[in-house]
Amino acid sequence: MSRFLLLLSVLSALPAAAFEETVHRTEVDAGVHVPVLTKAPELKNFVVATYPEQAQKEGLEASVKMQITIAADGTVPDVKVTESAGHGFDEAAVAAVKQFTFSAAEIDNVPAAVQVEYVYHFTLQVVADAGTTEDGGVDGDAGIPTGPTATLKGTVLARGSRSVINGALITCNNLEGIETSSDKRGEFSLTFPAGRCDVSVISADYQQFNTVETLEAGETRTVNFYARPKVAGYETVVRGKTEKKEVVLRTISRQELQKVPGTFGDPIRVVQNFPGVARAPFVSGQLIVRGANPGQTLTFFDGVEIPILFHLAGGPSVVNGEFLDRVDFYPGGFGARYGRAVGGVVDVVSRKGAADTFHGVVKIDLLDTSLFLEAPLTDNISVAASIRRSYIDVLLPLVLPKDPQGGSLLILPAYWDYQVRLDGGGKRGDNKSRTNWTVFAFGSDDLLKVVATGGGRNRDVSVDLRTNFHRLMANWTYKTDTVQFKLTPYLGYDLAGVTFGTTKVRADRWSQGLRQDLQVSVASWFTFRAGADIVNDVLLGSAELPFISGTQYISFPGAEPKTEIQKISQEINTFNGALYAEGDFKIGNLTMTPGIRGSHAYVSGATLHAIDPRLWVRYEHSDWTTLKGSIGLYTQPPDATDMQPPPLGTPTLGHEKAFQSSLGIAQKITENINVDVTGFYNRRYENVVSPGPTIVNPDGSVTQERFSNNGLGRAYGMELMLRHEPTKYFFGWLAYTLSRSEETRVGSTTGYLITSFDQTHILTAVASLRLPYDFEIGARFRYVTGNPKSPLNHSADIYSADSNRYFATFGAARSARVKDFNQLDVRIDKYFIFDKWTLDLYIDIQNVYNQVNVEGSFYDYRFRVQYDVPGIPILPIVGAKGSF
Amino acid sequence: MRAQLALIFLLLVTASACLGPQEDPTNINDLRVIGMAFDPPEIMSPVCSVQSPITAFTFARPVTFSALILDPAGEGRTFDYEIKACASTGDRTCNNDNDYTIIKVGKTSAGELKETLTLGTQFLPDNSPLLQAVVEQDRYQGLGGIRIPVVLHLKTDTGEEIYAQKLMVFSCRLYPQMVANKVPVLPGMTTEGQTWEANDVREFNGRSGVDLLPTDFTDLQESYIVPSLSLKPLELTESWKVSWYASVGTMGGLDTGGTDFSGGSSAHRNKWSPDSTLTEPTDVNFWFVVRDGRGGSSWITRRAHWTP
Repeated sequence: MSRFLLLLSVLSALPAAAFEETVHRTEVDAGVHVPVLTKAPELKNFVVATYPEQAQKEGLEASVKMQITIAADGTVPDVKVTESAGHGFDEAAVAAVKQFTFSAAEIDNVPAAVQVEYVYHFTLQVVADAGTTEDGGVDGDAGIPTGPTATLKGTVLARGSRSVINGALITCNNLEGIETSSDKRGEFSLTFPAGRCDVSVISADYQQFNTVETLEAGETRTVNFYARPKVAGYETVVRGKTEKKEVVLRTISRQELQKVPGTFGDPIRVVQNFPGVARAPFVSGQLIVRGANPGQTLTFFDGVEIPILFHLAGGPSVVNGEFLDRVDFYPGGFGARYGRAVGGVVDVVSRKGAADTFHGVVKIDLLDTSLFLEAPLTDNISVAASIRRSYIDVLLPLVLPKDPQGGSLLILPAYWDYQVRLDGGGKRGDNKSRTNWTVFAFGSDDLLKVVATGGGRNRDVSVDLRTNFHRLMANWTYKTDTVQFKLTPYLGYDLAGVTFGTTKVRADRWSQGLRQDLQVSVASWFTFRAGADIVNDVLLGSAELPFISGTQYISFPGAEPKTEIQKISQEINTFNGALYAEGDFKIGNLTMTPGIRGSHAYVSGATLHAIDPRLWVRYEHSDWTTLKGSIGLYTQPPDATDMQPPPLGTPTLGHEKAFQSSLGIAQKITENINVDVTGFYNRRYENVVSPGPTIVNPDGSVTQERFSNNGLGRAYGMELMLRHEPTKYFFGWLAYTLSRSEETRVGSTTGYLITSFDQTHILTAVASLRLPYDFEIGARFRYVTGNPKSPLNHSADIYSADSNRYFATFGAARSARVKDFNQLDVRIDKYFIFDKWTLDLYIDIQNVYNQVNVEGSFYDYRFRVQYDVPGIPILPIVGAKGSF
Repeated sequence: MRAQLALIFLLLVTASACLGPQEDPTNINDLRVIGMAFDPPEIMSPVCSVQSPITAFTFARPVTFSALILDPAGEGRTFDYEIKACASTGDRTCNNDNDYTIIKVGKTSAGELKETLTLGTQFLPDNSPLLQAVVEQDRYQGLGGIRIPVVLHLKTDTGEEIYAQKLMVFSCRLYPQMVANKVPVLPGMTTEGQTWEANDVREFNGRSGVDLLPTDFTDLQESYIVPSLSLKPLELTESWKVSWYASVGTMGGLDTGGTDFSGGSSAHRNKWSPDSTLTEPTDVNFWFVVRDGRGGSSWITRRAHWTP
């Protein structure tokens, strides 16, 4: 008589695999500021669940999906069923899992509680003597038959991506006791009596795979089995119970980065959907954070500042989305590790190469094509690379009409970018290596050429605009249980050049920088961090241009005269070095983090110093509720080019400064849903504004300062973030900002005015849902108060006969607003999953209901009538992405 | 940042193309002032001392003020005007309290308004000399010339109002090479390559439009010296702009000529096009206003008869 054996196959992505993503984060983390999982829990004691009797009699099988909490001591205090199987399976699974014990997980090298997803499979099987392995898989040797045999060898791979599947159960359904499980490389070996084997491959997150293999006696066959993911395009993300130091740190996962409608998968544009960020006009990627100017929020790529964010000034981001792991966004109150910014900070974190096998992504849309490749080179070294090239310059001539002037018209916008990353000391998922290193090169190049000549033109136009940058950085990390040390030297080259007719302006910048970060866990109640952040720039500027009216001589309104062409060249040396230190002091549930950052800058002969003290306080009232607050000073050096001698700059410029403060509460509502409410007050002072003062010297000559530090600003408000963390089927958030931002200048008689981007209410709702049949649909809705404007009060024509132009009469400055903005964007993805690759066809529709929004104002030539400039109408964009 | 602002501006300009038809500034259909001039456009003292009697005497010279006022829909009506001068070039209506003086008042109608003014001897209500007040309010304190803003204020019985400002330049010979500006004068106009004399009423036919080109004035554009902000002499060359107007139809562009910020110059071709709604023959008046970019201005007029 056959006897039933419960084959309890543990989820293929058992904790080790499930933590892959998080471990990967550990290794690519640009600094020590983000708490990360440094050691994944491992199952030490597996307990076989009791098969529900009635279900066994009825021949029922099932899988119970659970979210389990693993305590710092490795026990399982809490288990929640997230996908019920009924028939008593849930209770049996929960009872068994609660008896599991794990090795302790560690966050920042400190034992900590974590949560993982776990699937318990109940499978009825008729076997003879098969034993079970410790991890619940079946020992393939347990039931080796004694007659002629054959061997099936192979690899279990994910259909559509070829990722290896660890821990999958491979059985011969028609033979008793013939089963095995795949190892961490996805490989298996199954020996069975020669003849037919009805193969089943079972693994959590994958649909059961069935096939038939018939082998002769003594035959060994090698196969690849492709198991189809239950949810297409999903990557497992495990949320460790991380401790946050900053009051507000919003992290956007890889899954969210690529799927927010209306952002074209652009990581910087996704940041615009978070609280505290004003809506930028059209699809511009400007980051206007808590009332600060766009230039006051810095963007880093793996901790290294990049000079431009978007191709062609407002096109796609220069950072290929496929290369990213996550984006960390600090709207304010960021740690002492970051500096040189009085607004916010965006840190884009790149992705380490794949650990299992060769993968790639090809993406094609209307603007460009990109290719991303990643692969392990050896057991300890992996590589990832991407390249992108636009083809607007090829397509544009095909669609542009003939030159209406009858001459020659040429418009050639083109861009490309690249990223190459080599990692050693441990592949993605390997967190045991003490030392890790990375060599990373990335860059971008933009060209815009416009030539319009001949025909009926009065004026020939020839514009050649080129910008590019290249960065080469290395990274060496050493870590023990208590110490983490990271060293990041880098080199950079930037070029910005424009040729407009006979005018040529070019700036070449070479930079060398070094970042060093050290973290020491001195005691359970004290962690210390310190580091250095040094950058040295040499900028060579040259220009051939006419004498500049209004800057070098006093202009007269009307027709600009012809002047001689002058040649100007400048060399500007800049050194900026900063040291920082901060410590976490834990007193019960209270964590206080005082920090300080000191900087010394040398710019074109001027010396600038700054000392910025900062303080964060967190009080964890419970596992669900945290109170938090921050206060600190922030400084940003002026741009070196603004510190040239007059008339091109103002050498006496000093730091821009800001006082930032915030107070908030974070409340966990469920395991996946949390809400964060933060109030803030920021005051910016000594901001750089233009023009500066005009000084008439005793000899009658005039010094026209281009800039001054007379800018003042303040912003205050409240931000709310209700967020559903990314899960297999859903992610989304509701962001709301109530704020006011104001500015003025020292000595102004009008006092503070609201800024031109002041938006009282900013509401953004984002949701993305995975549907059956491999569809995914996402939507983004935005409602934003209209931007301020000055009302037109025309009562008489005001005309300048010298310049032949009219002037407007406005009411009180910025005392009115344009119409409120609202817009719905939708994105639909359809995945086609083949054995070795996946095709994602998508359509991203901006402004689905064709709302006529207002992006600006124009006037008739006499300023009698005001016209609204409409925003983008309904705009569908289609694209295709193939990944393998 | 600057590149992004440039892009936003470009998007706004592009979007403005979707705003529908707007009034064309080259078509004159209601009350307009399209040109103002002083003759001479600049009074230059041979010495650079405000205390010098030579300077006082020179600046006391009268100048002829002209304004080209058009009012095609006014049917010969008259309206009030006043000519004011004030201390601040930023005061485009010369209405700032105690900062302006009224020089002339009267009634006029469409056409060319001419008055003789003595600006260098004007005083403000507080009895301070206007020239001195202008210097005090000038951020450059008179370097590059003292520019007195003169405003022509027109007001009709129906409430229409126009404030038109023109700057009159008073300067001194800081460098020996400096000479006072002269009035720029367009030497003539051509249509389809043929000279168009002032009294010649041209016949224009059809809807394809007519090409216009001023007679070459390259040699009339003067070179002149100005002080740079660091008091070094800087040689500049005039690059005249021509503004084009028609009583019927529109011109291809409002202004031609001048120099762009890169130093590139522009030709002066333009094209007149009849209104698409016109079906009957009509007379067309043309006005061509020239500016030399340093305060000098004048205009010429032409007439044509258009047949569909």
